[in-house]
Amino acid sequence: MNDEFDYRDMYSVPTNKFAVASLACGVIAIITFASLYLPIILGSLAIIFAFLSRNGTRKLAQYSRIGIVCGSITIVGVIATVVYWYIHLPELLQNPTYRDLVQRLLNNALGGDIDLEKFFGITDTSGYLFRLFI
Amino acid sequence: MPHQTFGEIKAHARGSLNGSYGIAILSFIDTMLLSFLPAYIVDYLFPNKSVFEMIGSEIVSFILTCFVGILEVGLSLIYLKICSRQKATIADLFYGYRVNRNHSLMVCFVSTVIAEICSLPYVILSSHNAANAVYAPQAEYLTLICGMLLTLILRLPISQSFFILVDFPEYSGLEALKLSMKLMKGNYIRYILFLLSFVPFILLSILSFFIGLLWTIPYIYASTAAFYLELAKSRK
Repeated sequence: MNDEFDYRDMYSVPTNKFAVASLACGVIAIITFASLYLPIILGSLAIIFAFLSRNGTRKLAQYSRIGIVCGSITIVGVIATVVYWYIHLPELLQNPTYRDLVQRLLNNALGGDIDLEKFFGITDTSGYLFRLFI
Repeated sequence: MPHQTFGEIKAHARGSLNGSYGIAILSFIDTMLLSFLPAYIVDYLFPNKSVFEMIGSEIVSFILTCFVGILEVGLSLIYLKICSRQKATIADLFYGYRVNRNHSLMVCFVSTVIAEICSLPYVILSSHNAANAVYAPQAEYLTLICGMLLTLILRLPISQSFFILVDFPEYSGLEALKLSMKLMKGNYIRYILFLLSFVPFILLSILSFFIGLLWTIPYIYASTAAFYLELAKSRK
């Protein structure tokens, strides 16, 4: 192998700042998956940075590809979790432990004694799903 | 001469923006802040919503929007410099006010007239609704979105005129508008598709609570500047 040639650079895309930012955002998004807003913000930024990291070439850097995968998984996961939670909310609120937890969280966040059914717009379980999508 | 692909134009924009994101983001923030100014001034001058005040506010808003719109010429200069690998400064943002102000004002006037005419149904509907609450809010949104789409389509022929004003400072506003129409002839669909290709970026930026716009908007501006350069080169 001739040492004068840099074989590695011939086949790889140089890592740039956006690729590193994409990787960082993607990984932090996965780590903070349990919180609601941060993973969505970081996941979207990871995908945006990954595409901006393409420096005139079609090939994405390794870091960018990881960023896209982590960001996409996080966004899809968070949206799926939120949708699942909304769909099953009336059933979940039947559980006293869960109800107490949500009640305490909302009371602390918004102050006062929050009526959960009124807050989430649940009057009866049958019409709940229909109302969510209009 | 065959046209470059969208990928090549965007690659040009990304490559040019490398190392220039600071000035690009700063100019975007400045323009955003200054473009909010007309709305604040109008709200301050006309707090009540009587018919005369509404007409007055529309006229004042129109004049101020025309004047603030001159910043677009400066933005075009910044992005043309970035795409040509020249050093851009934040002072370039006010280029339109320093050089050939009347020519810039002329182009802004035409551009604002198109936007105002297209947004007229929304203005009438919302003011009527505020007084009587006759129509559903969805009707307001619909007229707003239709107005915005119509503005985008009607502005297509003159979309390159700000770049032309910077590229050919000796041209008058009218000449810039005419040349833009000439350049865009046969490229309307291509330009619409080019703009539509940024929709996923915009959606992701919205999902990131608008933080992503800090990088997306400069990217879109740089890409449109690269599109103009490619258009001008292919027509030479």
